[in-house]
Amino acid sequence: MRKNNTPDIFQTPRRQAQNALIFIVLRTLGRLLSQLWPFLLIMLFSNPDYSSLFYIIITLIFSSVVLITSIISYFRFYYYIKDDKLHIEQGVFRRSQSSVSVARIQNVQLEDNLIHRFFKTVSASVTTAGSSESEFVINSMDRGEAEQLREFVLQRKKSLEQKEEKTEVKEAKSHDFQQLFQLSFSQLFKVGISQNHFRAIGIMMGAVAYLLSQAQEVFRQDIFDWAYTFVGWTNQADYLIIFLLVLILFVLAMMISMITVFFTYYNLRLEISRDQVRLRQGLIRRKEQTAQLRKIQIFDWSTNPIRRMMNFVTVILQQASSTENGGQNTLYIPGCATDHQESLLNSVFKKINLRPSGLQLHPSMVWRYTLFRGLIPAMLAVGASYNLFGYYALFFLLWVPLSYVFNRKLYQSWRVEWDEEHIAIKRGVWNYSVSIMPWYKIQSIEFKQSRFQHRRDLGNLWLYTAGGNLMIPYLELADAYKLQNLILYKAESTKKSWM
Amino acid sequence: MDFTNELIDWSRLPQVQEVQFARLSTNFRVLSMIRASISSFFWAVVILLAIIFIQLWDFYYILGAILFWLILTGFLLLRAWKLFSFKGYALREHDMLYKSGWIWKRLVAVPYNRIQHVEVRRGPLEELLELRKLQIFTAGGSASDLSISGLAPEQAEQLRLFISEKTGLDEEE
Repeated sequence: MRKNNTPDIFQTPRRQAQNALIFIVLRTLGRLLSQLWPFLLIMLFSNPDYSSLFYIIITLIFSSVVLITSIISYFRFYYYIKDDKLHIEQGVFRRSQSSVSVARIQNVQLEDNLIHRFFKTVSASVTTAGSSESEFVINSMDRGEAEQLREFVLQRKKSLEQKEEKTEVKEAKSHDFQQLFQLSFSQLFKVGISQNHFRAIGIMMGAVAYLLSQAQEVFRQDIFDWAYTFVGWTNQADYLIIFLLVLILFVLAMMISMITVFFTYYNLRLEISRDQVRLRQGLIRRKEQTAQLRKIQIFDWSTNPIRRMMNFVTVILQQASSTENGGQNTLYIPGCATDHQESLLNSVFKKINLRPSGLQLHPSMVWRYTLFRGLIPAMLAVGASYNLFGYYALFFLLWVPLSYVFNRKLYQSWRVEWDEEHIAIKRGVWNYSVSIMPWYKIQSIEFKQSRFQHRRDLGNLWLYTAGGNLMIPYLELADAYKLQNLILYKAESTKKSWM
Repeated sequence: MDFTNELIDWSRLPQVQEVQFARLSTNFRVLSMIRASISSFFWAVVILLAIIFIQLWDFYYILGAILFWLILTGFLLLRAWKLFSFKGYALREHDMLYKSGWIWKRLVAVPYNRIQHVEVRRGPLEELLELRKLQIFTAGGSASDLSISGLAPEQAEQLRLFISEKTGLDEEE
């Protein structure tokens, strides 16, 4: 029955409208110009001789090959709808045939510019959910036909959505937002204090180093030598100076991050309705973000000791990426009080009741992490700074036991929890973070093993969603298989849409 | 470790580990050997350029560079040869499995109802060897997409039809 609905014109393979050639050629010329303009400039301003003639010929040959290829590509591009699927064939040297189920098409966007209007055609871009790679562009097609195509796709989509609505409980969609919380001035201050100031210090040190190196260029004099003689690092009293400098640096960094926090998160308000959350913030640049609750893939929250003391966490809502929200896929909510976080979690993912899963990571994780994040970087640091510090460079090796202790703590902090609908992973030493995801939001699962892990029947399990990934490291093979089987079952046995 | 859970009896779930994997076309071995040779040639050029520009006309440096290149080439060829036997795919009722890798082993599972679209690609080299590359796109970004190169044309076409049939079906009913 449906097949009869497919507009006849799309049933046989068709090319784009002929004026698409104009767009293809223009675009290729533009691309060539943007790549070759430095050469063109050189050619214009250099004295004409045989070598420049040679370059001109090379450039001409290259350009004409590219141009001819792009023209051929027009004749190699076909699209048609068959068996409820949109098929697109394209490519000159690299041929490709794509097929996308009409039901999966999110939108057909029609656009026209002056040339399009002259020929009464439009360009159509067909988008599916997910990355920008999953987008097809038909450079130019008859306006009427394009509208027919869009109508057909949207009609199919609508009939599907109606089916979905029938299966789900009919809920009156309301957009009455209720305020969950608002950051007061004192809370803003707390958020500022608990920021990661080391990042600001890093940025400042980078800026200072850059300025110094620039100054050195300008003055043609070793500014570091000058600094050494001026400050005179020989006296014992200088340790006091160093200490004071570090203190000043820290205070400055703190002030910088506090000011940034003040400007970005000023008057932050989080509101929630039955099916949406809305986040508004900002002093000078006001920002407003909305997310549909059903599009949220991962609920993250994290905290550090200072925040825990002040009883609030940072929440990150990861939304499925789509062209509709213009790439703003994550809602970053700082200063969320613990009970607000819980009520937010309960309205995003209903009926959540996490229990320990009993899954454990393999202890060899501690040694491997210490090797890759402790020993190897430390050895590199020693090697790189040996000329500068001599035997003092060996102090970098102190990083190894520190890293061991840290990784041990990290290993001990790992928890995997779940209930019928969700999986949660909790981990972290200083920055403790929790990620919660409904099983069925999974897009694909990957089990990865290095040579070492393979020998020991261990591996890392990656869970990919449309809004970010989760990874559980150093799982035993048997456990990984169990989890993989379970998640696949959960994803395949539900009719719920992941977005 | 106690893994019995109240959620579901996992031993009654369909088991990923018991699946028989289908192999790729044997021509894939030729393809990966050719690719390895090309990248080995590329490395030879890079090393040669490095020697010329840094002017390392010292006998031991050149010997070292040649040795390095030989080891690298040996490794690349060995890897290309080995890859074939580690790759395989399997179609189940509700999902597709793909395993690959010699140094990093991976096993990917993609449920059909998460697949956005399917593509069959071929480059000039693949055209010559009668091979196709199947690409499966999900909404999870490039990391979660699946690409299987080294399929025979009819194999790829069958897979494409089968998978796009499956993706369509899930939306029905």
